[in-house]
Amino acid sequence: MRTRMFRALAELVTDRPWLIFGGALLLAAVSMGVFEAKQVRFETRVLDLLPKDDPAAVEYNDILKQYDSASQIIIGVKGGTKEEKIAFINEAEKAALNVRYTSSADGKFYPYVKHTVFKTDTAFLQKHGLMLTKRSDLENLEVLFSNLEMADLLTAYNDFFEMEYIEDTAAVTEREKEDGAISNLKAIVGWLEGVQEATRKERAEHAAGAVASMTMGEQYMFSQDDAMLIGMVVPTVSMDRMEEIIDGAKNLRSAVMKVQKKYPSLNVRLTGMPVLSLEEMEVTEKDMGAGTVISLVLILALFIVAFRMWTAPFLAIVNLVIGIIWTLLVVALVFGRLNLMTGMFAIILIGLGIDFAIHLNAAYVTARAKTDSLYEAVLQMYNQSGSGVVTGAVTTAVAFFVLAFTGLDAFIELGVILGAGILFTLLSSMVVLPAMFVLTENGRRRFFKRAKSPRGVLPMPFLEKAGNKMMKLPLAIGLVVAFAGATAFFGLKAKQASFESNMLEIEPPDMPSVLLHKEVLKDFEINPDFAMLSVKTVDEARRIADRMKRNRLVGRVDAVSEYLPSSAQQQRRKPVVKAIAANMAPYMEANLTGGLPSGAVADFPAYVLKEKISDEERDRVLEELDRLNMNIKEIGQMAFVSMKKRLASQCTAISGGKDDRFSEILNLKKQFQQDKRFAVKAADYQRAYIPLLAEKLSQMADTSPITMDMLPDNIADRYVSDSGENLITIYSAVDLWDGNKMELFNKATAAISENITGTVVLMDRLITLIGSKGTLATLLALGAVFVILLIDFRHIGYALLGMLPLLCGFVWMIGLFTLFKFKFDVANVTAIPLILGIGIDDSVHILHGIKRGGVADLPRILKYTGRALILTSLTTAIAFGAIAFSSHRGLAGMGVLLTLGVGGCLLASIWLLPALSRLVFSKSNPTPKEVSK
Amino acid sequence: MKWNPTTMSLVTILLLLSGVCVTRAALSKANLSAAEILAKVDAAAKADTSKVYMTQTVIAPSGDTRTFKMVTYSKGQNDKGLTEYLAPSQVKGMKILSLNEGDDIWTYFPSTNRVRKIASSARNRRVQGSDFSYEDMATGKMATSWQGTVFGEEKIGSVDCYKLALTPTSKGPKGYKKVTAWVSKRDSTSMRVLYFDKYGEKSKQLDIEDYHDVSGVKVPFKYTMTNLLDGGKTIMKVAHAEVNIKLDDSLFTESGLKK
Repeated sequence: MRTRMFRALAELVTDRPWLIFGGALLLAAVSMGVFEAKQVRFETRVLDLLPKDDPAAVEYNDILKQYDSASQIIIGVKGGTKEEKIAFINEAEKAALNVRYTSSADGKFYPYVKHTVFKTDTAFLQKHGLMLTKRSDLENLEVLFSNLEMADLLTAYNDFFEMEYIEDTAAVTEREKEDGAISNLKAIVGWLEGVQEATRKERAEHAAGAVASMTMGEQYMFSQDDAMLIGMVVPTVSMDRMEEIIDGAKNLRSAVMKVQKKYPSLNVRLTGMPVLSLEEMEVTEKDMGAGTVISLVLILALFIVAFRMWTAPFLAIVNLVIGIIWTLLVVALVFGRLNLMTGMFAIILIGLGIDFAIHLNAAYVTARAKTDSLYEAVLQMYNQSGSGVVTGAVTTAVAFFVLAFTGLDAFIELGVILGAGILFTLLSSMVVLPAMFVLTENGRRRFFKRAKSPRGVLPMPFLEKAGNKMMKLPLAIGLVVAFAGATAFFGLKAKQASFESNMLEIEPPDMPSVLLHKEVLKDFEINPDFAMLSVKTVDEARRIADRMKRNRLVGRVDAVSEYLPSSAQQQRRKPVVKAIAANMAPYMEANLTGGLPSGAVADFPAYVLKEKISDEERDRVLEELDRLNMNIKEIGQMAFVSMKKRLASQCTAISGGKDDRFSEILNLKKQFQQDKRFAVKAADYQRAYIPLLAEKLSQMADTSPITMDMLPDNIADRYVSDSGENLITIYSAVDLWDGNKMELFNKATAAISENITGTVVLMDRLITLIGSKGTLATLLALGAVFVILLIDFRHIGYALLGMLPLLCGFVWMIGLFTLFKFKFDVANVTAIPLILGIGIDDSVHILHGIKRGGVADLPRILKYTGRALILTSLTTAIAFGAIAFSSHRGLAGMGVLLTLGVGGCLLASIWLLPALSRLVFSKSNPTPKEVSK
Repeated sequence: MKWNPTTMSLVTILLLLSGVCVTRAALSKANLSAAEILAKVDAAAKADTSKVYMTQTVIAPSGDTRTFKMVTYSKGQNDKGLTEYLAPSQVKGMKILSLNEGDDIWTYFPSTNRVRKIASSARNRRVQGSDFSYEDMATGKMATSWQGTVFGEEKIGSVDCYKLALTPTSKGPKGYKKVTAWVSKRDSTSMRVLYFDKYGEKSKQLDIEDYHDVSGVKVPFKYTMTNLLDGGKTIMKVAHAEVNIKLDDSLFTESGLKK
């Protein structure tokens, strides 16, 4: 049947070459048109590989649509001074608010930034701050702020530090406790430093900042050592509108970087899902583009060197491009998108599809050397290589297509696109390429009045020699033993293979968003990846938040309940808040009576009338500074033992640790001692900060019940959906990609609700699915390859023999990959089923040769088929090698894996398979001995 | 500003808490009740005093690891305990005194030469960032703290164990809903304790290994407490142990800390 089909094909391509070529171009044009019209998306997020109907993915997309804060962008600033960082972030905030994105619907520009969180939202806290504070903390504040003069307040701080620890019943994460302690220590030092300001005005200005820090903590989001400042931007567009959010992220990055140019000492980066997606897309597109061009050029060069001709390589490339463009039709009509895995389908098709052209071209060149008849040459070409090419291609395609039965979108899309791509490239190679041979030859005949005789393929004489030597049994046995040994070694190595579950380790290592992601985790102990849950009521949100905060893996829980204490909590807090407010009243009278006419009688607080603090107060301040230094040292030691390294480091920075010379507190004490005007300056400073502090605390002491309606829009929008549901965001305090942390974190969050979602949940799901479906895909591909071999050779012996080099190359691939310290990951693991479809071709061609000519024909088979296999494997390796140089580590790993697999299968096919065939076949009878029995 | 949790005698852990103590008479009868097994474990807890040199390695959920060297003294079963840090240099000389089964805790800081009472009723808190809580170490007698049933037998390594399902009595710990304990059938040493938190989730696992005979008392030389919820782990290895030695009461006083 094949002979008849080849004859018909040979007639068609020699009689109607223009029709075939024209038809091919027309179909290519239609494919491009459909591809453009369908606006095929390039979705490069790893999470896009998850099934769209996965419950966690559905919940995730729902939350992204419902809540603004579900996708945020972090701007991180390092370098320069603290003041420069603040100035930059303020300017960047203004720039961010002007950023626009292009709407996919109408092409118009719309505002991209919904709101920013660059510093503490003070408006709400200034009024209700105390009611948002836990009762136990309020009781401490009542004692602490009972007397605001410097010596008394300093004494109160020390007393507070030396209080016995009382178990706190309210849930606060370990990280929040540490943050609170760091913030308090910084605030105290900042407050004390104000005394030393040179002028009254400067002291007043300093007092305002100190009071803000003492009452509401650090306004800006600085790391513990102030080396890094971050700000958040919440886009108006949700993550499901990928093109728009990426467009906006790109514009935001440009706007922020434009501001950065004014601050050359600052190092600015952006991260968060939108930026990560943008940079992933940019890198992947660059890798794919560069990889495609490099592989095409190198393959072209190899073709020219191997075939010593110019036209054939160009024809092969044109043929390939046609096959790839036809495949775009499938991409556009069936899936409408390319993802991280399918994005490189073109490179894979170049690597595989060029093989068809090489085999056919080699056969055509050989045939043309024997005959001047184009028809005869084309027919001989089909007869010589057609069967092998078709079997190889169909085997590969089927191995790819079976991935569709895994049920995982990532594998389905990859299998169908590559399977269809292989078939289209095969069709083009079997029909369009020979038609182009004919057209070229006809052209030459017309213009040069003669056909050019091909010069023949690059000889590889060692192959024939090896074939001759292999006819001797000892060498054949030696080769089989050597391969068995090497395979056993690589098999042992393969057992040590490990899986990289860290999504960031798959990304390019120097991608700014990845770097900032890691820095935020390190400096703030907050993982920008988080879990999310939408719940019906605020009480439920509060209950879940309290429970999650008890787990040390959790760094922060963000929920509306943080701004809405329960009515019971509010009732318990109310009397203490009132007491604090009452304590402040006497200190504020200075303001109230400040404008009285001269001679009016007013009961001024003592500090207002003091020109200078008394000697007793001065001595007490100095003593309390010693005490403060000791307290901070002790806190530092306790923090060290309790593994709170940020707090320990802060204490060391303030107290000098073991060396008092570096103590900020003791240095302040020395300055106070040496400053003859200290008593005056201290009294002046008291007049500056006390009324401000009293006023601030009074403002924060509003005891009216806090209700949902009172929440400002920028807070409510973050946590409450239009339907009234509440978003809980759970941030991890640890690197979730390290060890089993993600599993534990997901287990802890899953225990509170089955609807939990978020990037970490989805990634965990994807890894699990890739693991189980990847195994299924590998088994399906193996089964499919075996069935195709069985159908093609109609003999189980041939089928088994054909599988051996594949399995051998497969083991070598994994063993070498592990030996070279690579790890498997969600991106490169797809190479495993792929190599089964790719690697089988080599043994198919050798086996076809043996079946045709018998084992005695081995020298000739190796001379011609072996040479073709080396060339085809080289082209494939070049294509995959180009991927191996991708900056995206997931793709690079895939390139390495496939290159190793192609190499392993080639070596096993041209050395092991012939040697093994020599042992199992008799020289005169091509049927396997054991089977013939 | 809150104080970080402090410590108490780690000797308590060694000799009492996880049923470390050993009975020399093996549990010969096959059908012992849980109460009988616990009574035998308690009866075997005959180390009135101890002095133990050990290293404590704490692996935080973040992966940060810190190793401390310390010497611990205990007296009156788990009533009094003193821990002195020997290394690293940041905490060398720091001492923790715990009295009344961990209800009262004092700390001595060599850097400031001050003694401070830093906690009361901190039973539920973790000890020094480790995965042990004060309660884990201060449960008093097993028979009075726990009640339950023997619900199976299982091997831990090569040791045949009774498997006990226990819930806390009114005098028992408050932080756990229940525990599963594995007690050696041969010598009634505790081999493993699995803790369930108040939500009923498996929260921690204590593995007790490497028993040595010290002056006639079997003392485990390795403890591993694994936090099953956050991945934290604390490993305590004993380098040298002495039991039933003479320890002056003044060692366990606030004033004694400065000595």
